[in-house]
Amino acid sequence: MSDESDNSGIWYREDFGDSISYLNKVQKVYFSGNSKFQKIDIVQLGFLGKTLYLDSKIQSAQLDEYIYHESLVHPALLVHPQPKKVLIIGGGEGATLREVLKHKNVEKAVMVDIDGELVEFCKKYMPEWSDGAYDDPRAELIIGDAKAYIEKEEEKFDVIISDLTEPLEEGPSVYLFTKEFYNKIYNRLNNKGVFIAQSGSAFMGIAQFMATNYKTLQTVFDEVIPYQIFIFSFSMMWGFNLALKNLNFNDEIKQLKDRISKRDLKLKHLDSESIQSMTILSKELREELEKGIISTDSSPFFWTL
Amino acid sequence: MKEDSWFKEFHDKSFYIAFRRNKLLKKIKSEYQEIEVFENEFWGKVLIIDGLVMLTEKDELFYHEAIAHPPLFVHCCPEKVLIIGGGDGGTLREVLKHNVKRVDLVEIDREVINVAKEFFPSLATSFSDKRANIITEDGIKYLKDTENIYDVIIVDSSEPFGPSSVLFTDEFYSLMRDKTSEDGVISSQLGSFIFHKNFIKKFFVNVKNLFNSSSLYKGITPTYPGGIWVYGIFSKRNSVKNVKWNNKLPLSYYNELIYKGSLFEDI
Repeated sequence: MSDESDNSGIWYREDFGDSISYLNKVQKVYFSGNSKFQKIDIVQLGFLGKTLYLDSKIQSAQLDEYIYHESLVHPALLVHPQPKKVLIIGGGEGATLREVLKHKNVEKAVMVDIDGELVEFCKKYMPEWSDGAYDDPRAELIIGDAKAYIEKEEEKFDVIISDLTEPLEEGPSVYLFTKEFYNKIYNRLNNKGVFIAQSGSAFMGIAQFMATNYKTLQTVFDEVIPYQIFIFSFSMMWGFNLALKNLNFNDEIKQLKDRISKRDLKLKHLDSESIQSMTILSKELREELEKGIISTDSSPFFWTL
Repeated sequence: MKEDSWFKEFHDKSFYIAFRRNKLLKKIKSEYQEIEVFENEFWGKVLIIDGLVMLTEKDELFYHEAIAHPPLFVHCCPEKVLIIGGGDGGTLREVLKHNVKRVDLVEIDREVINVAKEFFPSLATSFSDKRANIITEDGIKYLKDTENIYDVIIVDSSEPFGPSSVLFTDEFYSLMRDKTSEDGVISSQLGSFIFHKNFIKKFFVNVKNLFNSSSLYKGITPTYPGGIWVYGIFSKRNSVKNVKWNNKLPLSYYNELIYKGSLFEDI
């Protein structure tokens, strides 16, 4: 953490390249330390409320984590006609699991996260995120490597959600965004399936990760829909890639309204109209996505900003 | 973080942004306000007025497309448009993409127009369009005195404190209602969805019933406080929701789906 203190207290500084910084005043530190995989800070900020930093980047904040998690989970589950089995890879805070379990037709939700210490710290210091999700009889938590899980197990899913940190060169997630991995994901989906991946910033000039994910998924899936939403605590528009197996996006979105009411979904931020409006990208961003490279095991993409 | 090489804007007492001034281009004090332009490696040229980010080259289009196009589409076929404020030329540029006959822009501060012409040519080229008529005057005074009647009025003002606070009153909205045609439409920027909720709610409750159909809507503006900006739209006849949108207009980002997905009445 690059923190700064002045006579008004301690400020956590998050740098964005070397010409932009965001500074938040810290009211209380709940936890600050390292797991085997990453640096973890759980703090109370004056404006954002309780906030998780991973490797000095804001990961989620109480003020608007629901916007991120609703945007990650519900479009994927809503374009699937009957999602019964859902797999989450990553998602250590437990809020992705919480959102998945809001769908009453989900019978089983498996979450695989490599960082057991992070999962425990989140349960202990920020229980609002999982909000009892781990106690739901439909939920199963596995601490382990998602790659090994995908390769070794055979169980199939209707929806798979990738809620991982960006592929940093020495980070644990580099090989979870490659063509080879996505091929395995495709095979672990049922005949009709949906895959969704959080894909980093969605702003012109800094959407290389989103672009790579978009182009890589296109080599494997029938249809890939990129979308974005502004996340205040990231101070940025955030990107997602929705990939479909034997489903047609335009057919499925006609059902959104109906499915939201049939599944009795109580959403704060999204409805049928706002889900569709997330798929509108600026001309510049669309052009940038088309320039994405394909990430492979022999030449994986690293995020460097 | 050295004081002079970084621009800082506090969005709340416990949160601020800092942009590096990679190059300071201008800093002047006009009759009305302090105006600064600097270059930032990421955002490009940045215009600051009285210590607040007004626009950056990189994200201005989100704001200008959102404030300009909805009222022009809610009105079926606008010919005469008034912009109050908007001295940087960005809103004018968007309005001129429509088949309008005349656009009057009333900006109180000539220096803002001059700075736009010097540093933001991609916005300020709109000033030289034959249909544009630039008036340097106080917006309210102009509107009280004018005999012109407009199809659309766009209020592209600064924050609702200081000199612009009079632009956020029901008196001003009644005046605009009187100076618009019978199917007139008004749009205005109202503030941050995150930081100014209470103010916007109070304002909207106050003025919405002056019009047949009114709503708030949201748009993205990454460099404004909170990143999600709120606009108001007020129509004397047509519904602000059932809009006939021309998707052939060459916009960078904004479209019908974004507008319809962003409408909300309660805050």
